[in-house]
Amino acid sequence: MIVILAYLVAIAGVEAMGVFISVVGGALGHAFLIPLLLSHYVLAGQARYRRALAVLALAPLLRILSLTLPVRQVPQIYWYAMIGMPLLTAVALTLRLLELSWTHVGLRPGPWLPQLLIALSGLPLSVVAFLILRPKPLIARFDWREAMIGSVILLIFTAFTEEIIFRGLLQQVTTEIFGRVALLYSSALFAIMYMGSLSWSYVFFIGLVGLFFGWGVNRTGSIWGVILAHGALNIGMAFIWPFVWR
Amino acid sequence: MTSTVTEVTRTLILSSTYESLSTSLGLIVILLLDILLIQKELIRARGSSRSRQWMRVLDIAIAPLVLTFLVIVTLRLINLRHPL
Repeated sequence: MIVILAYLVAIAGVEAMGVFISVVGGALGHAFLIPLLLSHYVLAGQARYRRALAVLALAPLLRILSLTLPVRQVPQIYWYAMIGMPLLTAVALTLRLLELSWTHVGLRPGPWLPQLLIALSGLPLSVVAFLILRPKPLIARFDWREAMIGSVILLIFTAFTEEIIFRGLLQQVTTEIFGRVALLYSSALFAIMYMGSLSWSYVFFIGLVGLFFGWGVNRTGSIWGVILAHGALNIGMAFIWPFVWR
Repeated sequence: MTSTVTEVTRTLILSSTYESLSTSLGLIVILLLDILLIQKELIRARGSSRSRQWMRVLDIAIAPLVLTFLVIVTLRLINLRHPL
């Protein structure tokens, strides 16, 4: 248990270094953590926390990919796909390693009404998120075609990918260690990875969103509802609210 | 704002030249990939009972980093002809 908490602190420290001190220093820290976590997985033998180590390696990997793949000449909306594709490859390989199927990580139909309510919660959540952060839109002028393409990209490469990592995989493997408290662990890491937003209130809000999403997944046994809610949150912030509240 | 593209990522990419990014962060990716590939080859050569498991674990990082490496090399080549 202490090992897993120590890795959370290490990831938070390295992420904070990348955000507040030196991006290159943070990237080096993440690059150090990846082989460390993966090697520890093999050397951990039958330790109860072992499976969580392979999943935790996805967090520093996410940051390394996010710092190295985007290019200024490519429109920002396509950055998500550039990062998301290799990240989804890593997720698929993690599932293979842990002998988990897509249904094991919550990609199964759950009770439809709670799922629908969770999915709809993405709309008010995106309003709150927008009001906290006030981000610029991802497109200069509103255009239906661009907004639709962008929405699909955000839904697959941010909502789907992040929910599989944080709720589908991390919450599940940490539940084997912490029981119901795993919700706090996965939400904490989820919030830590948003430190780069440079807004503490937004990081706190994301932590609460993580708790709510985690609770929703525990309740329904499916991650489809939270994927749609997460997608609505991102799409609202990127393509809707910036044009409504100019 | 997502965890994949944060404000820090956005500012970094938009305010730095491709040259400086690829020689700092790009180099970190290439070094990391080298370390993982060397580790994998050493394990394969040793041929212990846990070799297969080691290789499967390392593939989690190697596969996406190979894709990243290909993007970096392609962009470096483009940069030689048409500076980005």
